[in-house]
Amino acid sequence: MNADAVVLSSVTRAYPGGVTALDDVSLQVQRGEFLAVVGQSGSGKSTLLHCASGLDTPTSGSVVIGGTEVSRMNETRRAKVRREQVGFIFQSYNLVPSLSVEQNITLPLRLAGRRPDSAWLAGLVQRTGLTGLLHRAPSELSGGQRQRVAVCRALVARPAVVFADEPTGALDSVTAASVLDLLESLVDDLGQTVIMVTHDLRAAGRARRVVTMAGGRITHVAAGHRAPVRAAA
Amino acid sequence: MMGEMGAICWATARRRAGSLVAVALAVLIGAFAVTATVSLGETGLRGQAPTGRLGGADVLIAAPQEVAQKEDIDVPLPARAPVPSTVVTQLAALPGVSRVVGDLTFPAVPIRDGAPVPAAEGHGWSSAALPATPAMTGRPPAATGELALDAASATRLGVHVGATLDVVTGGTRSTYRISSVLNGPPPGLYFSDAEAARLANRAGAVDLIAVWAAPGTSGETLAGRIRTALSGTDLRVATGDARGDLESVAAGTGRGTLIALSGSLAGVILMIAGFVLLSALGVHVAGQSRDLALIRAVGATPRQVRRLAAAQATLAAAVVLPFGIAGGYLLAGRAWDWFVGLGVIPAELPLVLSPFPALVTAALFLLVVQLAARGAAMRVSRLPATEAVAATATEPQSPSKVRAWTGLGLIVLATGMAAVPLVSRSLVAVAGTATAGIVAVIGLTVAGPVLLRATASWLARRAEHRSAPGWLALHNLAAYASRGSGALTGLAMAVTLAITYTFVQTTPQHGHDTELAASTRGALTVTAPGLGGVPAQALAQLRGVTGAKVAVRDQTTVLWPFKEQGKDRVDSYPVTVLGSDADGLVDLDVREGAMTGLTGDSIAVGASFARFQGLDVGGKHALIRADGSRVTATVAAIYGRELGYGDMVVSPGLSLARDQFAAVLVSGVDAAKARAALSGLPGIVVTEGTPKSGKVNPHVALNLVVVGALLAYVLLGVANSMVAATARRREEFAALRFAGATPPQLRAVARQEAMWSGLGACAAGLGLSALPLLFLGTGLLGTPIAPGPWWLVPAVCAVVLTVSYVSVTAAARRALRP
Repeated sequence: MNADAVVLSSVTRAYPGGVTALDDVSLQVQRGEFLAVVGQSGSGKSTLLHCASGLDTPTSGSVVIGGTEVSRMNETRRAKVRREQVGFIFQSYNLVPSLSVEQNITLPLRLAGRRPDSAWLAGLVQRTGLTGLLHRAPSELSGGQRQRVAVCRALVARPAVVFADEPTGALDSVTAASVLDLLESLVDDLGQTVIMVTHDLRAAGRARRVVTMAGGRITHVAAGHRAPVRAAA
Repeated sequence: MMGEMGAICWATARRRAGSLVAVALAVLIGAFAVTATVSLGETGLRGQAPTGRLGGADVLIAAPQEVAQKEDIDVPLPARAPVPSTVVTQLAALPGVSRVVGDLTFPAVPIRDGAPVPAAEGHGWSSAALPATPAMTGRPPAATGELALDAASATRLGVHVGATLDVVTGGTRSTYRISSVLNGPPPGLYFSDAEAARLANRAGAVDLIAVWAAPGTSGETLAGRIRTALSGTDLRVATGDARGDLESVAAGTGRGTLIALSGSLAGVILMIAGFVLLSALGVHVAGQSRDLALIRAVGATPRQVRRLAAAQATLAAAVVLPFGIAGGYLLAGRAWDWFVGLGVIPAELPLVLSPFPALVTAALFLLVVQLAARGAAMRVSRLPATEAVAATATEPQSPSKVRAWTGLGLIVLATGMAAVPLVSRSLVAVAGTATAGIVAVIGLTVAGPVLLRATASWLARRAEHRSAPGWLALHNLAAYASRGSGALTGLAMAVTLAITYTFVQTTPQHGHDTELAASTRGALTVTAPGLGGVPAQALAQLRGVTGAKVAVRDQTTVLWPFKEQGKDRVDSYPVTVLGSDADGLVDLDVREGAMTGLTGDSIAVGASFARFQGLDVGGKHALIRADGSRVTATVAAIYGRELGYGDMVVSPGLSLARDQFAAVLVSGVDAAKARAALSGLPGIVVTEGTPKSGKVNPHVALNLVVVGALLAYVLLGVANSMVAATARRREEFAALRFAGATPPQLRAVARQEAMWSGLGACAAGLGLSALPLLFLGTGLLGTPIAPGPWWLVPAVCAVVLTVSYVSVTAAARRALRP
């Protein structure tokens, strides 16, 4: 198995009109790593997430997710790679309101035409504290609960990497802390790779490596508050 | 403040362009149809024919051409009401009168080279010599066998002074010598006054009286004197522009038809325009609700929010209204041409062009848009500011139970209305079916969200093993039932409307044709389209054939006076004229009494009509003939073939025709023998059995054209709403995309939703049409299966499925573009 979850090599993303959101960025994220990307608005951190997750394609450079080069794929093929290799957690949860909690969680598998691994699913549900809420509608849940559903959904397909875009942005500090605890435990206990984009430095501090961006480039790389620990492979 | 609100309004409107276009389109087409309808209705109410042949007279006098109703529109008389000839001599004695003419108009068809050449109508010589003897070659017709004609007609007929001309008039073919060719007077065949009186057969009456004032007396003064002289009679005296209406009888009946037509159209047009507009506004305001909630959150008052919601739609409506209204005037002009072509209204009745239809349409649409948009924004505007944003974020809402029960109640009511044909076989019952279809569709619209949610949830539970897109589509339909049901019920409305409206026309028509054919006992039908009717001479010649049994079958109109809640009312009935001689030739399926009793002032009535009116054989009822004369009719028979012959059949005594008839039925001889008997009369057609009337019934044609157009309007409105609603689903599609859906899968979700909407609409539409049509077929024709056209069902379903599929998939494709 490839040791790197995501590898970006000389990735540039320019938009029509001359704005270069990513300027020759290279980044290597190992499996089991908890990486935070910080930077001010307009620094290019969201574009980095979009390119690194295969939501968007770079103008030049290469993006390899879980050993698959995605930068030249069309959206349909990238979508297929994403649903096997990538999980998403967003500030706005992005749950499907017409589906129940359980249906939301298993949606990526259903879209991929796979059956859920019931032991894995039960474990995830228990870990995220959603037992008993599975038949509720997302609109009946609190913000923290919704974000836990999103976490669960992001992990259900056992992806190579989970991207979290401001996962705590819509939550109060107590709930935010518990969601961050959850993310941390995924990294520690399950060896899950997590790339988190945030402008909240306290949240970034939970990561083991913090990449700072400005003007479309990585300007600083630092260790997080917690010492890097090699997870059992 | 309004300026700032205006800026906000504009800024948010640009982002909602799609749904605003839908609103604008609904207003545009609605205004188009409403303006045209109001314009035709106004012509019916206020239209005035210009003066024609008698335009030179200062004063015209005629009998009333309508029967007044209490608190309702007058019913026009289709035949000229007579003015006693004694009035002519009475007026001639008044001071200030230079000339008085009692005018007569009667059919006169010249024959040239053995074929009828309809050129002009017949009049008396004094009508040509108005006000002075016209320029002419030859001399005025004096003897019985002489006539004068205008130069244009003379050229067309190839005759000159001294030549002879055969004319079918007064029921016979006679030969006249041309005494003069006139330069100046309007087209006409002018006979000597004595001959004209004989041919017109008015028995001491004239059609109208024209009066010329002596020099020094104004028309108005003279009219005043005439009114005084005629006080105590109901005769009308007109000067100036009002003379046109007295001169033209057809203008009066044309106006009546226009009022009836526009009245019946207005209902369905307003209902459909309202439906399309309200659903477009619903989608538009729903699309805005997030913005409105945010504006509310930053301190706008509920009133301001509602005003903002209404402002965009009103602006859009105001922009397109002038175009819709202008188009409506053009459409009214085209409709007028069409009606004139069909012979529904006379060409001399001009379309009234006034600002009234524009004002009515503009006021109506602006008011509806304002009220409906404010209504739609009511919920968002009333929520506490902080909740508003959260509430709009969670879009699926539970549809209300009250709505469900109201809607189901309406559907049950509609079913009851549709059952009327089961108890009454008359054509009036058919109206119940059409109305039932509309009421049922309104019921479906009201109950739609609940029904859709229940059905889609049921299907979704059974879709666990379907592919992910199919499964998602059903879950979406169930969760967004309010959104989906607007489109679904709109499409269902199109199906129901198309099917019920068409079958409501074709089923009675089929019954009519079948009964008419079944009632004719192997007879020949003699008609004379070229002569305007079979002349009495032909009737006499046919009667002279040994072994021939001959009967007249004519058409006329009678008015049926009755009391409604103590008020005098009158209904107009186009009726078939049959006499006792038709016994054995026409089988009306007489239940009581006998056809032999159809003489003098007697009538036969349909069984349903008799039951409804409480009439028995021997019973009497007041009746008004086509020229306004009142009689007491006696019921001679009650018959069963009501579809073929309507509510009433009248004896020849109640008809005004004395020398010309729509058709003559002959049995006992073959067609060749009948033709031989008629050899001296050109223009007569002998057909075996009942000739198929190739004539399009203008009311049926109009109904089908209007329903077709409205159908297109509904479909356009639904398509627009579907496009706008799908375009708003970017976020929803994005969430699915983050969960791993590929673009083909997302398109498949939209496609499956469109398919289910289309199928649901077809099922609901057909379901709502089925029972009324079943009742209609059973009640009218005795068979539950209506006669068709059955191709319409798959055709309408195909159109509905296509509209649903194309609008959703196209919009989804666009919403999915990054």
